[in-house]
Amino acid sequence: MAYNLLNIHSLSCRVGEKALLSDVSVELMPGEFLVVIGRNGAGKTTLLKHAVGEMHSPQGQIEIFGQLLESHSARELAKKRAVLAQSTPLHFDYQVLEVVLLGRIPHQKRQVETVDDVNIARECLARVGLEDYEERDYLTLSGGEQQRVHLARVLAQIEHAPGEIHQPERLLFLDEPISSLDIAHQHEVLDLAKQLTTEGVGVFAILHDLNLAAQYADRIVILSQGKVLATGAPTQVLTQETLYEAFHYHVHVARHPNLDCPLIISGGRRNTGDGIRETGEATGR
Amino acid sequence: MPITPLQVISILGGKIGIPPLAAFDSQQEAVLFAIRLPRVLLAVLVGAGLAVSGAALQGLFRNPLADPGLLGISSGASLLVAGTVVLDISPLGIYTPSVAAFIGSTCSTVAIYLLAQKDRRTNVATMLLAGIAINALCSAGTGIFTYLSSDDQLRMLVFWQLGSLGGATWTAVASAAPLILLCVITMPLMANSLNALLLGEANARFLGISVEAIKTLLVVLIALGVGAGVAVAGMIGFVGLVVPHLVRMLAGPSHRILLPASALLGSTLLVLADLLSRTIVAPAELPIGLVTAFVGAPFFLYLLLQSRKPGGI
Repeated sequence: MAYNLLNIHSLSCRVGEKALLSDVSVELMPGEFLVVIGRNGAGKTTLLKHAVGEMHSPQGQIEIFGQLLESHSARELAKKRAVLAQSTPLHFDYQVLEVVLLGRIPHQKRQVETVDDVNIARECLARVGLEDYEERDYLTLSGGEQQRVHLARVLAQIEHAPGEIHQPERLLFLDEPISSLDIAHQHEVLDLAKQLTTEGVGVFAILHDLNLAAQYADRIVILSQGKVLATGAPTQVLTQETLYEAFHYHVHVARHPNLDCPLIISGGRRNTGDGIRETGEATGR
Repeated sequence: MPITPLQVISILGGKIGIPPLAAFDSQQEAVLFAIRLPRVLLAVLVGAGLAVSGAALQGLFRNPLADPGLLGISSGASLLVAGTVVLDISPLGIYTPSVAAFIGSTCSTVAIYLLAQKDRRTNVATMLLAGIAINALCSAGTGIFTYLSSDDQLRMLVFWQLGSLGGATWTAVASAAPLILLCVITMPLMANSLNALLLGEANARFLGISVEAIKTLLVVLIALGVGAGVAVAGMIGFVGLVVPHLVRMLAGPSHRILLPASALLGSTLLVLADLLSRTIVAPAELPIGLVTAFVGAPFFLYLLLQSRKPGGI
């Protein structure tokens, strides 16, 4: 590999007195599935917002595709980097296929939609299992279905049409993308993302469910109070001690009976006396 | 003065050397050219400008309840025009009212936008309430000018505030046309950006849209479309609200269709509304702003009721 897709170098961010991030460094290689976990308020979203250019900090440096983030043209960047937020505020009654086609905007010259754009949009809709939804009114879908439509949209965004220059390096940012989905669809979405990594796409995801993180991540970054507490393969970092340090909640770490990854079971020990109230996050959903 | 459709075609065709299909006299020709044609053209222009601006405004606010009249953009324009009339200043000749209106509507649009945006989201309640406040403020300002006006000015101001195409002259058409056409023709070039903006500003940025530049351009074009219309035809409400809605119901929310279709439908509806306003109490004339308000205000209430339902606005 010539260079990392994403290089976050000693990033710090303060708001007033509070340090949201201090000296955070994260790299992401082509084809890697990176998952960031941590308590609420640990700085996960702040980190992602910096990585996608929504927040800027004078301290630290962010390189994406081997260049400083600020030096990219917004439109060229949009062809190879997509971001799926936890929820997307769309209140107009688009048809589902039209929403997916919004992802093709950076590829369009003079606002003209090509047959390739439509084909790609259809294909991506099929990949998220919504091929029969093309003409449905977006606003009538359930929250989970809407989220899958947006996943199709971001997939379509970093896809290249037959005539276009192939972008070998591509990046997908997922900000808690599956919170509104049921278990089958959670796995469907993460399977899809995992599949993309085999094509060389780098995936940067924030996840709450530790077991999903354990199953899908190539590498996990644990944030705690704005600092990187641990980084490494799931088996290395998902230990009882580290997880207690990160979440202040006791879990039991076993081996997954079928998969080669840790299995986190909540309530391994009594969780009293630590003043912890937010147990929901650490136990997973 | 009755003029049949065939005579109209003959008079217009005669100007470019087509032999007449029906006989007409010179008086008919004069009435058509000096009075009716500029009036229809002005209705076409103003209708297109208001409807396109309304559609773009709703895209900018990501909210289908935005309307240039409700948000005080028209009354911002109105305030400055009333000022130039009463103080009798016209440094820019026939363009004075248009430019004054443009400045007024720009200020209102920027003010509303800054007030209604919080944490990069549009707060609908704040947007509408800020609109009420700006409307009240501008109306009070206009009221002061009305109070200071002479009898002639007063009569003119009152009619103009009710909205009227009665003053349609070729001068009015010439002063409004460049500004409104600039708005109506340029706006569809930003259709994709507006579509992306419906996903929220952050997502639009992720799609490679220069959100800040687009927003500035949108505000300027909206102010042009509304301001130029207000300058020549006064306060004509609800066109910017109703027309984009009708188009969305027929053709969906994509701005690539919405913007040009709103221009066409806005023109058509305003020509029809003007027809009503001229004939309903003939030989007197009902101000066209009253006609659009009688249709538009119930429609707005209907939208508000719709928005209470789940999945609504």
